[in-house]
Amino acid sequence: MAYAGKFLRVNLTSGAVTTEKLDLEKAQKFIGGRGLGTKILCDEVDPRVDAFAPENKLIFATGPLSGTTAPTGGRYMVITKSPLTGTVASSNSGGFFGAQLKFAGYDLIIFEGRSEKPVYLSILDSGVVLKDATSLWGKTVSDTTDALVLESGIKDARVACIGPAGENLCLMASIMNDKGRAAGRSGVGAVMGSKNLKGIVIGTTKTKPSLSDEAAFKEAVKECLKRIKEDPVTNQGLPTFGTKVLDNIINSSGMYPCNNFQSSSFPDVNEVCGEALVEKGYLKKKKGCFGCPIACGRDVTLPTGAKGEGPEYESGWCYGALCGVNDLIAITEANFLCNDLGLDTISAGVTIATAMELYEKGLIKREEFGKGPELKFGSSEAILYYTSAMAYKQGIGAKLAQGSYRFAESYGRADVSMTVKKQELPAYDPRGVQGQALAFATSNRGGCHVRAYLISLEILAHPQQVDPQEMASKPAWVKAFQDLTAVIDSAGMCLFTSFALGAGEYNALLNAATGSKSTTDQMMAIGERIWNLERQFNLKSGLTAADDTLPARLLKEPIKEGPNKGNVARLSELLPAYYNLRGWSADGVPTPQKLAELGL
Amino acid sequence: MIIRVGLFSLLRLKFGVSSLDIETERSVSMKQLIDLAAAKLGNELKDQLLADGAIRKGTLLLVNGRNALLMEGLDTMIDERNEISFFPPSGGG
Repeated sequence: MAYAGKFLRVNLTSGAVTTEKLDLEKAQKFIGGRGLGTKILCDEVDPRVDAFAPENKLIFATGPLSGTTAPTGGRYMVITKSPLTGTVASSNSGGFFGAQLKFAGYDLIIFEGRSEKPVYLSILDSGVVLKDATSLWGKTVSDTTDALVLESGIKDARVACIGPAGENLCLMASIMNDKGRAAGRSGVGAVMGSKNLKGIVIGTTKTKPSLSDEAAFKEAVKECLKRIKEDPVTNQGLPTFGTKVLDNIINSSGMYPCNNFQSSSFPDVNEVCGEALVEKGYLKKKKGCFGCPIACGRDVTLPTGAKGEGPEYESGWCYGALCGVNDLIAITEANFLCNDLGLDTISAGVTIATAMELYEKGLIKREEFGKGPELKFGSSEAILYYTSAMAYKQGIGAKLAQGSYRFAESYGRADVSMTVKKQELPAYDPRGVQGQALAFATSNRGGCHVRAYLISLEILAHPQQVDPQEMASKPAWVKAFQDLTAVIDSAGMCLFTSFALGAGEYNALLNAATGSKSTTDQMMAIGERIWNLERQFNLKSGLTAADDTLPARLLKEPIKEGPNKGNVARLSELLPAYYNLRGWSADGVPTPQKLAELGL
Repeated sequence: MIIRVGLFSLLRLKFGVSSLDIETERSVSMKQLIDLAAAKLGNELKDQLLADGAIRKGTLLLVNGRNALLMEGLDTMIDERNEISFFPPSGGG
């Protein structure tokens, strides 16, 4: 059945750790991972709760395919209410921690309440207990990970933890696992910090999940592996260059945001692109997560001697072009710093770029930097200094730690913040890609590219090339991408498999693993159910259709140069059709008929 | 006239050059441009970019930042004013 069939509930207020039986019917209705975690959040947490209140819950959720031989089947999600966006937060991560949780015999961990002192959760064969983490408080991610593995006494134990940024409640704090992998977005690490929970270590005997139909599953896996091996993206492009293969493509397409989205192509892209990472010799080897035949991870050593994972495309972009920085060493060091301090690279980089524009416009005074360097576009020193200042909330870093929107708003210029629902936008200027513009605006967790990656369709010609400025087909494409992505996130697989696999392959894996008899359409309907459930949570938390928008700059100011010269994001033309297609009212609210149809 | 072609990603690694100058007396189609580039770099370039005489799925042949598929495909006419970029199938995020 692929599910472990039980989960942990950890009450941090009382210290009680209990094991509960998984409601299999509920699990199958929402698949697992992102879907099931969101269902539990909706059932147990009032969406209006303060994200840092003990009443908010923090859910680590594997999918039915986590820990199986499904390609990339090692993913897990962290679901909670976001302190950054006020929406549901569901952050996905790879590495090995997700599979390890499943091997320990648990589908989920639900953390509730708040501990009086720092603690960590130890999951070993000897038992599951909360332990004192006072001595770990203040430590970086790598030091915490090493300490927890050592304390567990199990060499191959796996750790998820927060760094100083999460402890200090930075609104863009991540949860890191296996040192270099991040459940990065929406401030899930800050919620963990608010609960005084430093980490989780898992070092049990490994029990592989049982499957409903072993033979059918083996066949489905074989077919998926064949497709991944035959596909030039998953077999060549991603393994060789990682996600940074995109720098030149997106820059050549005239939608590579620079200087806080003030321009859309970067003259120095050749200094910082994925090709440069290879040609300069910084990339030492590729690195794969659990069960991954793609291995897009980057194992990098800089001439300075610094070593680590990254940078990914997004991280390289936000600390590079978006901050006007052309120094690949500083960009990579900023990425390493984020990993070790437990910060989301996109939100941190975009927030620094926001501050750089505000300084450029004369809204921030030099004195506010104290002994720190000026926040000038192009300053390598600044990106490193203020990343650290943010995590430790030092000086102006305390204000930066609130994220781009709140920072810009404090200077009376929220319009300078390139965010959706207060979450920082990723590395694509939506004025050049109308489908992605709609996907950004309607994302259930705010500015994000992995709720629906329309770049694939509009730029990368996958599964086909659709004109980025074409409008009529985009609402349907966005809906399909959103629903399928919800399935993949819930199953426990990596979104990158979708370059090689289609809905039919995911359905075959899920059916064989769980015993479900779903058609592909029925599986897609589960994706739609999850999307609508997230929407309901957000609406109940106070968001409205007015939040389904983009920064005014992207709606009103045409791109000044390059292939997209003259383009703006034409959101107002797309949203009504999208709402209609979703079966929502003109105000973006799911109709009773739609909810009934989806069993919500 | 000289048409400059940018080579990226695996093409750059495989052929060891980041750009190529193609000399021609008049404007050429994308197909002719690929033939001229292959004459310099070898026929393997064609295998990388084309399959069964069409643009290989996922391969990006950009003309001024726009996919040639959205124009006239291999018949898209090109001259020295155009910025040309060749990318093998790519993904990420």
